[in-house]
Amino acid sequence: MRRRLRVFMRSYTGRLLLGGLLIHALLLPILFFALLTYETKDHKEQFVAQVRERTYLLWPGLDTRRSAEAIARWGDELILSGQADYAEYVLASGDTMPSSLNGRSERFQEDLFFGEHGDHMYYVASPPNADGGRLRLGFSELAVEEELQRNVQFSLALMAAYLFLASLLIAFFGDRLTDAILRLQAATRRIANGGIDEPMIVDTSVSEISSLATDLEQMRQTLVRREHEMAQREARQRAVLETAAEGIVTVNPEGRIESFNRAAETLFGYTAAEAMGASFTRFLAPEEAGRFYTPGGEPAVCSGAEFVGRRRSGQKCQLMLSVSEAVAVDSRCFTIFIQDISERLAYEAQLAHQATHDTLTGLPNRALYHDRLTQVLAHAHREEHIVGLFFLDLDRFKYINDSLGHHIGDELLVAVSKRLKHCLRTEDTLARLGGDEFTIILPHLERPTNSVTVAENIVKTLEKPFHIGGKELFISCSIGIAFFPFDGKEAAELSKNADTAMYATKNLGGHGFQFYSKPMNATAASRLELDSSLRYALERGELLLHYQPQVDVDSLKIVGVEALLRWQHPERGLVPPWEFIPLAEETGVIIPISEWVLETACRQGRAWQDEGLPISVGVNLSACHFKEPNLFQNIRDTLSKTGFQPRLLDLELTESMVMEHCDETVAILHQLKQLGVTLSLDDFGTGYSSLSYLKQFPIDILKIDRSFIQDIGEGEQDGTLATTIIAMARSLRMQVIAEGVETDGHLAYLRHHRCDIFQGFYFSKPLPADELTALLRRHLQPESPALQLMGDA
Amino acid sequence: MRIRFQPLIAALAGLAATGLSIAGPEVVLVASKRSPVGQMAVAEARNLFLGLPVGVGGQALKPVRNTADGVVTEAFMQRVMFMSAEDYERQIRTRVTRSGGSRPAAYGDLTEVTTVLQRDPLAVTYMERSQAKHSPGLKIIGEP
Repeated sequence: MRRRLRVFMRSYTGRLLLGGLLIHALLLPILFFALLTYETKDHKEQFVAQVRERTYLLWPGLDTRRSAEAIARWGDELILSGQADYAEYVLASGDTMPSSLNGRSERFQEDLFFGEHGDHMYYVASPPNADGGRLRLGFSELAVEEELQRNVQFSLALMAAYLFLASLLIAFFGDRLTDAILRLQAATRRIANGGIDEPMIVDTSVSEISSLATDLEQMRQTLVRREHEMAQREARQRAVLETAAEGIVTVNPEGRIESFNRAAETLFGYTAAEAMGASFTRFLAPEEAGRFYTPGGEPAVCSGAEFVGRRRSGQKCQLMLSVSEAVAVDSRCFTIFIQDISERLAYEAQLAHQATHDTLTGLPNRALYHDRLTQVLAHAHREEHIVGLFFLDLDRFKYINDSLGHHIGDELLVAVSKRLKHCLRTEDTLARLGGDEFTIILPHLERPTNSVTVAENIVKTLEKPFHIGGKELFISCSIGIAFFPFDGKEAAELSKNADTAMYATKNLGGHGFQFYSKPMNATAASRLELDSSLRYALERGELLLHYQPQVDVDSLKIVGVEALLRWQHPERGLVPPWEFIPLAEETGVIIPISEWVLETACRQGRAWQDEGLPISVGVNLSACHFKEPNLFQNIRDTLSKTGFQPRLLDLELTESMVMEHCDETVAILHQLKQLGVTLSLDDFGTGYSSLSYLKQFPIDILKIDRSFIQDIGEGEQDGTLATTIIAMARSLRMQVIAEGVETDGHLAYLRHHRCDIFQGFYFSKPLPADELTALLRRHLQPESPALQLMGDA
Repeated sequence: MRIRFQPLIAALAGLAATGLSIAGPEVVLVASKRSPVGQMAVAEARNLFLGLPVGVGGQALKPVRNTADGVVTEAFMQRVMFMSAEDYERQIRTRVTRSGGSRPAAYGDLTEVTTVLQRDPLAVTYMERSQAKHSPGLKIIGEP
């Protein structure tokens, strides 16, 4: 009850009531007291006025000549008639004649004011008569006093009633006022409890409250709008957070997780619900937990710090954390951006490994080899040790790679590297420089001859067959060996010399090893110089073609020429083909040279064609050019560009070229035949000829190698091979050209065995184009004399 | 329950009376010693102060009200005028309104009253006997 009363007194109505009551309680007594005072004063004044007037009026009626008893009786009459309540007459002598009806205790005591002397009587004396006597009268004040008391009581009752009614009215109007306020309160509470979408309509006639309700409704609408905008903004922020590629986690200053985005879920394998409230260090390796916090126990702000993380599976991962502090109005939190850098670090490690190691074999690569060699040499220099450096190259690896495919070649390299490792000590370094080139550093040799054991061991180990891809492969190696400090004190010099020694081994047929010697260096230097010159020979115009005539055996007429490549070196003079062609094939320069040869020969053939000297031109195709995938297109374009008749172009191929990948070669040859060109098989008989395949090749001409022609006339068996080849060609309906004809005997033999065409110094050496043109002009004239042979000249 | 206010009212009345002079003052009628009035009866004084013409030797006397002391005034009203002060004011107002003339001059300062009387021999006023005795140039002409 008291609580309800307290609540009521704290309410608007209660306060209004209390205020009203206080105001009235203060003001009403003042008002009533003032009214009462005025009323009392008026009553008293009226009483006094009446008393005085009555005394004045009664005074003349007294006959003082009467006896004392009569005067007393007159006084009694006044009292009995109610005109006075006390009466006596005072003689001039001072004697009094009181009325017998006066109270015994009553004693005249003149009053000037109502209530004076407190005797409830108002005593007044008349003026003296003629004899000096005075009439003294007394009037009771009780009636007036009672009247005044009634007035007081009535006033108090009135005041109480007033207060009561005022309270009721205040409560009534207070309720009326607070009703609207309570409805506003209910509406605002509804908003506070989330019911913000319901309009706030408070119907009231009180303008202030109505205005307040309107303002609150506008405020609600603003809140609704802002809440909507905030919701949209939050949704966008959440979407950004959830779709972020990196993990984003917020924690409180104690490191407890407050938010955990989807990327973090994926990263750690925990759902956001599971992670919520947990310490972030739960997701770090135990040894990293301390580093995450500052000495004050808060997450340490950092940028790009690397930590070891822990996934749900227990698997560790490499993390990059950026921790920033966000200060809100009344709270702080820390945002942790998490990147899983495990893959990146692994990739970087892989890159670092790849930078120094060969990806195929896992051996140190050239960079690491050089680094290690430098270190070993520096150490050896201090300790005065001997260092052995091996350069190792696989023999005929290119053949295996080209014939069996790169995958077989790669597997072979891996197998070789494994065998080589077994041949070495742990302190030795085996590196792969690229292709089939390996190096071996023997850092500590007591004597150079100790390396012989290693080299022999390697050669023997590699001699054993390799079983790769279901094939049994045999391979050998060429090793070049150089020693510190005898063959070089610097890494580059030592490497160069070991390489030179390795090439020396190659030149000696491979399959073995050679120690470096200074003459080797001279040869290698010459070869290197030739190599660099050859690269610029084409663009400097140092290459040229000579043409050797091909002559009909019976008519001795020139039917064609073979284009032969020559290199006019500015310093060395004319370089023979067998010196630079292999070098060009090794370096790959042979392709542009072959194309140049083809185009130059065709252009020259066209020139002879235009002069009315239509002879065939034989062009040797290099093995590399033959393997070019665009060979057909290249030849077709060249013929088209030069306008040379295809039937006059004779493409000369070697046996080894066509026998390698026979099936593919058959297709290529048929394709070339579609152009209308002639195909010749050069140096026939020197290689591994398969007659069964030969039948399938669309070959037009067989060229007997000069070595068979040179044998003619040397003994009983001389010329047998040449005869056999001629017979075989005839059976296969091919023409035969004999190369290297130098004597009458050669020509006679060939003519006897019905060879078709010959070429050689017997008729003419290879000539420059202009000289050959002159020869052709002379020779092909209808009235020209018999062929002038070189031998005749 | 009946509330007894009589003791309170009596006490207040008593207090008021104490403040104003408890003992009834002895009021006397006073005029200048040069005044032709020898003695004045209460009835004459009443008529004079009610504005009725009262003369001596063909000269009209002039009432002067002494309002310096409320108790003296009240005693004068009771013993001479036999009416209350308010009734007296009403009477005077009615008389002046109906019959013309002027209201008796009233002075709230005893010195002024004394000065007026000393200057005008026809002026008559009232004051307490002791004051009259100590005021030079005045004489008591009546003792109501």
